[in-house]
Amino acid sequence: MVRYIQQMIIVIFLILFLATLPSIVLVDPANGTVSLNFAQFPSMVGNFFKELSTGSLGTYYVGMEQRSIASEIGDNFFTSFYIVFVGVLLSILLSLLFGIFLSRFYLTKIFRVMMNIISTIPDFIFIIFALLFAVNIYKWTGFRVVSFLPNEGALNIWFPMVLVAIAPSIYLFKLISERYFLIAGEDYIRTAVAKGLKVDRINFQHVYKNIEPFLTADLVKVLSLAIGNLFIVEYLLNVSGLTKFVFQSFGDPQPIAIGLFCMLIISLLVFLAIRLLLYLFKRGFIYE
Amino acid sequence: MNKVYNRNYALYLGIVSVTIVLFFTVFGPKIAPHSIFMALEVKYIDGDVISPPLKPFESMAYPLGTDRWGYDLLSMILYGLRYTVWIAIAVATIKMIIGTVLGMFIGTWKKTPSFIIAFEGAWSYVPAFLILYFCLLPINFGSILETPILIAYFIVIASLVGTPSIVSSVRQKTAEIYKRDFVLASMTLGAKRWRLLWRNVFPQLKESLLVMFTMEIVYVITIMGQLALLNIFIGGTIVRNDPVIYLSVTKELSGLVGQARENLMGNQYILMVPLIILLITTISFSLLTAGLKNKFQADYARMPWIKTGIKPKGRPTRKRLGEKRILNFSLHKVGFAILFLLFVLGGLFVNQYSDSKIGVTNENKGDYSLELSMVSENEFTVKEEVSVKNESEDKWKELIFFAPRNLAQLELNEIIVNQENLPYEIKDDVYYITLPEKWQGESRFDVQFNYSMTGIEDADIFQDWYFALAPYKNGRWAEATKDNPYIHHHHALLSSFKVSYDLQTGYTFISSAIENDKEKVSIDDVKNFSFSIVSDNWEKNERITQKDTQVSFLQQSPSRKELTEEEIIAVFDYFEEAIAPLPFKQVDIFISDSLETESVPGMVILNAEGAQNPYILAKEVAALYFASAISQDPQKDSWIGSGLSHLAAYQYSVDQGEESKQQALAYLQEELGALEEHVNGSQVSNTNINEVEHEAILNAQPAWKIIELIEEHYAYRGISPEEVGEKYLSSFYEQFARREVDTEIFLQFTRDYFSVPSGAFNQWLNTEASRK
Repeated sequence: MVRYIQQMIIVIFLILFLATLPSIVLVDPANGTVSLNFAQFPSMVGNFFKELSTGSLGTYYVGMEQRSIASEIGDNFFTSFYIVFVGVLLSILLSLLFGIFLSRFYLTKIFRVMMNIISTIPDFIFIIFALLFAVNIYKWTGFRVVSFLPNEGALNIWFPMVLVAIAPSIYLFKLISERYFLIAGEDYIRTAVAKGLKVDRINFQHVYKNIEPFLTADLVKVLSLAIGNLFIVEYLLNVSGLTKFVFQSFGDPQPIAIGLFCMLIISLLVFLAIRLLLYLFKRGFIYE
Repeated sequence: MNKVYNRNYALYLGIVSVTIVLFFTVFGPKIAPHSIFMALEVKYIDGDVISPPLKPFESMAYPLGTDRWGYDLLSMILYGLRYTVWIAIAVATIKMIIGTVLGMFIGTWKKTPSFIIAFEGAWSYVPAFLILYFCLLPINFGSILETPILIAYFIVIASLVGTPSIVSSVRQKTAEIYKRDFVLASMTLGAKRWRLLWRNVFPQLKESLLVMFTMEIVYVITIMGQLALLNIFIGGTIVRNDPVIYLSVTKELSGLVGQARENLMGNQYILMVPLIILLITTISFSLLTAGLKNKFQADYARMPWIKTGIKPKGRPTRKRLGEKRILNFSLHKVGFAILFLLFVLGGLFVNQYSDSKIGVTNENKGDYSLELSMVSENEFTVKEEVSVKNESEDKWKELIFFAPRNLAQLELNEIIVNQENLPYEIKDDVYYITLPEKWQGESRFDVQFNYSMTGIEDADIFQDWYFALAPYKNGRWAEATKDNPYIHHHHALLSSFKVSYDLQTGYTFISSAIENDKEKVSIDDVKNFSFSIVSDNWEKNERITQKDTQVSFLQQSPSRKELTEEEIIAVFDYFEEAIAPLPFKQVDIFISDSLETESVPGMVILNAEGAQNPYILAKEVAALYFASAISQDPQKDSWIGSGLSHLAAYQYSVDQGEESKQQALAYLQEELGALEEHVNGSQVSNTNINEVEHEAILNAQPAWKIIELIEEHYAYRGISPEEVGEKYLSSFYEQFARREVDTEIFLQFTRDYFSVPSGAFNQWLNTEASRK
């Protein structure tokens, strides 16, 4: 518990630090050196919390127009939340399915080859290729697969969800296959085989149970991968999510900090939701 | 069959492709067909308009196409790749070293402090590129910081940001190994922590560290790519307004992807080409990672008990303890050796090839060996042997030599080619030697001339005293330079000379060549071999410049000689400092009342009156660099040598202070004024020498125009016009020393240097004239 609190404090500090960094790093034009102006840090953090204590989230600029963050952040928050939640859920489902339960079938071989190929491609390149592909599909067939207009609903949001799911899927699938391979060599599996248990049953009752701790342990990593790609995906696909506050504020600490904190909240919510789902799954299907 | 299927192809492919990528990072800029600063201009070729953006494979000159401003994509990639890969490797290396040391150290602690774990957790939660984004956001755009500094910042920050994750995984692995029995055994035997770490833990870790290292390289490239999408290009982002566009300074691959982001909808190839190359680069490293992983898995894994569908790739390699073979021959080692050999050979080839592409290349060669013997006072007999090489595809029907000019009398006895006396024709001082049919396919000829000559009275300087092979290019022999008031020499090849001499007593042989033996000298890559024979009535004085070049002063009228010598040495010192060390080991300065001021390879001849003017002095010394060591075709391109010499003289005057700068400007303006009076309208500097109407077209005009160009565009290259002028001259010289240049090459270089279109030269050069 202490560690969680420590972790939270560090993350909050880190977010505040990042948000104020553009104002702290100064370039001295006279002799071309970089200087750090840490003296400003406390006052900027103070301003941030003062703004929060008045009950408002502060303002941000769209072009020259000043707008209140609080009145707009709701939609953006939920858009980002859906994308991350669906993305992470998708990746867990796929990797568990192919990593353990379907691992021995030919289908998984194809899936594994596909994943291996995709995993050699860095996420951002894959995302650009996916975009190019989508644009070309529209050019060839006139069929609109994706939309860059923020108010197009599902057309605007399904593609980001899939793209966000890719990196976590690759990561989890590799992790789970590797674990599966290791666990399959353990003695208790031999015992189970010797007892004449079916493979599916061994997978469920022996393997999954031993893989689950690794899954929950790496959930944070998975989330961080998803969030990392969320920034790129939202930015490139013009999804009006939280990254808008982070990237379009030109170093104004207030919206950046708000955006990053909301990201933190989103990942917390998704983390809890996934943990809950995994718990229910275990309770429902696995013998203790 | 299983043997073939079960090989670790990822490893082989990975090693080969990483080697190829590394090859291009090292030699890329040498292979690049174009400069990254020079854009394709709209051209008409056979009725077709060629204009940027060019699609890939549309033009042979631009194989991967150009971007919308006309910059060659292939060249940008070849220049940029080295930044991408080496920055990634640098970051990964720093990360791995710090991370491994810290991680191993912390891993040996009995209990890891919870704040470290908390920090690792928090740190891994925040995406690394986001931290870098906020670090680089304030300094990267249109930055006044220099590119290397920005790159260094990126390397340092990226390494620091990435280190905690390495520390974390090394720490966990170390802690795991630390619990093993063999560590306990060592501990019981009294091993201290460092020994345990180094002898017990590290050997267990090294394979996974290697895998981590290659993985980190890909990871760093990914981060660079993500930053590039947010317009943070490593090495600096140039921001142009109206419309807002972002450009990469270094042309680093992910930067190229980032700057082409708007091409998602149209001209997609501008985005696709760098993206695919970036993909190939990352896949190479990923393959290497996967291959290494496969190898280590095959080496160390236990086989599973149930069917998992996962098979280790490749056969395990086992170390046989105690086995020592001197020649441990294996296919893998041979493969490695071949790969290494290919790398080196390829590098040598590329170096050779790119070297031969600099400057104008003539398609023949002539190396001279001359035997000179003095019969009486200014009467000589010469045996000249020229070994001629035909490097073109053509079959020659004749050989063409230019006759010596500066001689009072010449008597040719015979011309012998390959030991056979051949007939020849003489037309306007050009000797045409008709080759018999049997030799027309040959590529080597040994030509021998035997002649006697008489020097000009009281001029002891021999410039043009031997039969010179005419240059051959594109199926044509060079023409002889017709008589004109400005240029007296013929177009000559850069050749090597071996001269032996036999003089009467009381005379000394002076040349800038190196004396190998007694009465034998040789010199390489000069366009002309000049020497002088000095009798006792010349006063000789030797001095040495700061860069150890020997300067001999020869004077007939030693009045005010000290002053002039000081002045000339000062000029030499300036040029050797600002441009380059002199192209000659030894330079002879003749000062006389009766000689005309001029500069020939290795010699400066000064009229006693001209020697008083520091500008003229400087110009003649500069001609040693730009007219002697850099060759030009005197027909059209002699302005390059004389123009740049004048520019160098101007630079020297500027260096001497405001007063002399004004004098130099006044001199140039006066010349230009005379030009204006003399010439109706204007004449370009690369006019055929026979049509040139005034000398200023060849010297004052180009010098003045280049000074104007520098004044206008110096900010692109440096702080002040003076500094940029010097840098321009020295880079021009460095690139083309001992080579031949023409107007087109000058244009390429200068356009590239100041990033200007060829339109900037239209006023004073015919930029359309192509090399024919």
